[in-house]
Amino acid sequence: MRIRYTLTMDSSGSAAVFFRVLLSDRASRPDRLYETTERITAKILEIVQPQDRFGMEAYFNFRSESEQAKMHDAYWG
Amino acid sequence: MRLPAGLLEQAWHLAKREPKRPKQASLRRAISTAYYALFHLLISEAVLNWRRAEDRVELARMFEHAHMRSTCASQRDELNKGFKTKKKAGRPNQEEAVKRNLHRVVSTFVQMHEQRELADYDYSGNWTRTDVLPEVEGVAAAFKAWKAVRNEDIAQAFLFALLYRKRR
Repeated sequence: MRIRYTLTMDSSGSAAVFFRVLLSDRASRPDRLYETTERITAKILEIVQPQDRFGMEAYFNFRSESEQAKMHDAYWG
Repeated sequence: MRLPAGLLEQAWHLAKREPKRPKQASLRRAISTAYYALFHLLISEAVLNWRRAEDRVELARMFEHAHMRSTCASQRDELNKGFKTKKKAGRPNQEEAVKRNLHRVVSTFVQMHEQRELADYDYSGNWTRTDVLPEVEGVAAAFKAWKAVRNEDIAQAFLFALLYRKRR
């Protein structure tokens, strides 16, 4: 798993952090995907505390390794 | 409830189309449609409180995305504060379970509002099914959470806040 982030404004004009989480193909299997993303989201929020410590909204996006391998997306690389 | 449930069903359909090579159009519309499912769920629940059924259609047009989003964010922040106090105070109870369900609804709305903005207007990135499926599932979970709390006072007060604006 690899986590990257960008600090910017969200569409409402609030300071925000956008997390991009690259998952292993095993972790992103459809039958466990939702549970995995929920767990990771909760853990990141617990550790980073973006609202309490930085006054930031936090948003999350996920991608699997094989999807990234096909897309060669530098933003996720 | 027909429209919100229908939109959620359509979001699932779009998210799962083209099993091998999903089209960006399908994935983006899945996100947007899932957001609108939750948007219309809350509005349809709120207008049910208006006794004159013939006025509900007009009333439904008075809800605004940005105001609903900021109301949900405020409600989430208020609930978060309460959870922190409660954590120190002791064991969870029925009241906290209600608040946890409402928290799921409002935090999902805030997340989906932003994702929908990106899906509908931002060309800079590509979407994948791994990104879209959990978002749609999150909305499905918010539907269930809402069903569990819809008659609670705190949920009804929240519905009122979605429309109401304080006078300046």
